[in-house]
Amino acid sequence: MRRILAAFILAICICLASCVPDTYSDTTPTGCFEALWTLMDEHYCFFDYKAQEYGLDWDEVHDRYGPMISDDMDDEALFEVLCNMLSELRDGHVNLSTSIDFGRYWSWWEDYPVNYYEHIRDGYLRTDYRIGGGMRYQILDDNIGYVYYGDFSASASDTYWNRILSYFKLCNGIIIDVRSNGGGVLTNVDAIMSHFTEEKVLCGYVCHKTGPGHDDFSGWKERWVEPASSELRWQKPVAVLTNRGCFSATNTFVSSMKVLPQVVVFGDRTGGGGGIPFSTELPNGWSVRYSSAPMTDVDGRHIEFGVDPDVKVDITEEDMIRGVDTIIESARSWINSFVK
Amino acid sequence: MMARCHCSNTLCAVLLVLATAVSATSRAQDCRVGSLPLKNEKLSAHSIMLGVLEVKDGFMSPLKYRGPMIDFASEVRRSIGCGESWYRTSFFKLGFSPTTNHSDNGSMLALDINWRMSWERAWLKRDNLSITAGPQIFTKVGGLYNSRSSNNPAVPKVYLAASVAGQAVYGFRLWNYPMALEWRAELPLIGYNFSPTYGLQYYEMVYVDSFSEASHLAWPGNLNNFCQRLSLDIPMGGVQLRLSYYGDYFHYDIGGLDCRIYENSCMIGVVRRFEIKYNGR
Repeated sequence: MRRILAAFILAICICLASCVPDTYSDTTPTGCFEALWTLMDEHYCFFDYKAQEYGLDWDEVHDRYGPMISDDMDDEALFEVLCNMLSELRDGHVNLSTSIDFGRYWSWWEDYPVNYYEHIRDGYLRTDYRIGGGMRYQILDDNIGYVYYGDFSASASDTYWNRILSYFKLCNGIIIDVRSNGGGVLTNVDAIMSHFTEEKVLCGYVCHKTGPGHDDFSGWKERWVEPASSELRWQKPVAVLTNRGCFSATNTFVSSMKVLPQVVVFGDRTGGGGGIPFSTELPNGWSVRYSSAPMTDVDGRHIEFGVDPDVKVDITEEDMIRGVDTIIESARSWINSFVK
Repeated sequence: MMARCHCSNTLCAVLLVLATAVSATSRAQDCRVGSLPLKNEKLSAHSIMLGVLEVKDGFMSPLKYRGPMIDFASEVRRSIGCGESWYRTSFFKLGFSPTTNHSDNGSMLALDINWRMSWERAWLKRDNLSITAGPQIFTKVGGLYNSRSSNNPAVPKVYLAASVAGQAVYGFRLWNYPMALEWRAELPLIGYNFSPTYGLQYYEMVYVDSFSEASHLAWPGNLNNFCQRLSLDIPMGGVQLRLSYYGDYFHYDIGGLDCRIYENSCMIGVVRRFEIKYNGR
């Protein structure tokens, strides 16, 4: 009996001493650099695609930035080197979030024409526009419904879209303006799109990484959107307005809407962001976001670097001075061309 | 520090009130510490647990999170069948833990709900020693929530398994005072585990894949869970005071993701022995 008792007590002592091991415990600058490089190496989803597009070589990036790291550097210097290293990925979904600053790569819109001015848009919305969820909407003078949706995190539920489409029911067409919409919730893409199709429609593909290798991916899975269950589904012309500020979920929305036959996209190429982001941490607690699951359009093309419009339009300087939105006007002309 | 003192004082007060209330309401009963329940009896134990939870969930973060764990646990054991050789034990535990990473700049909340039911045979039954063991249904649900993760802020935990449970109770006297040492162990063997795999996104999991890739057969080759409790029961008035150590070590390596959740807690509770009346039936 004493032996059994001793065995019990020994088992308890072993378990009491047990603790969860830490994968990354080295909090020095070198430890953080190696952890960040490894985390990205094992989880980032666009290495092969970006190697083809602009010759990204992640091993070479390690060799180039590694010598810039020393264990006596301060947090600010470490932050700068790590951000510069992450910028090599040219991905707006890649961020380093710290108390020092929010590390980001925003060249996907900063280096391009704005093509969207809120004060000019307000001239179209006037002051008596309606608000439903994240949408602001108005019927323009030529009987065209105009909706501005600036944030895919804001609600876009069926209730709001039923109300909007009911309000627009006598209009000749709808303009959905998603310019400078930086993205948000992907399910809102499906929710909005479902009001513009009468049948289940294939709108793209998605897959995810299944292991640390650069080409360890699951098979591509089809993204289908089903018609909204409500009776209000729009079949007349739809113009979607875009600029370089359309990113992430907005980018996916534009790519998906292009599948529908009554939809035409006006404006500039979208900013991209074709990977679903994921968050993780460095040993020193800094938070890192990266793209982990690539999405493609219906033809299997990556949308990481944006989606081209059907009709390329920039806001001209003359129009801007006159308070006219060239992109909205192009969309109006197209819709009006259907009016007999 | 002040907050911790305040918490521990509050806990002591709650336990004191609980023990007093139980003592006051319990009938005078023979406190046969360490013995299995008779045919018309059931043993009921209610405990509060305080301990430490350590979590490393590969889906949420590569870092280990650690924090205090507080649980409420309830266990009921009674004899079943005609003789006194089979016993049914049901166990319920609700636990919560706010954890932080070692840099103390990230926080994660853990919720753990356990329900288990075992049917155990008494393999050894002596005056001062009894050993029971048998099959068990083991369920564990809960989740982790990390406030700083935007697209993967939470991961649900669902684990259903067929397991084996066993218990050894040794009654002894210390300074002529009756006590019982009880060791209980539970080992889930095979079942179902819900866990996202490497790189699997919620959008894909919920809206494209319908959870099929997150559902797994769990067996000792990919999931290990071991729960144990070592208790010292001390008669006090008409009840028994139970002081325990409780350990729950949960680990799986499924779909390229490693998850470890270890709980080490101290329990304090009250055990009561009830007489069951059958109303003549």
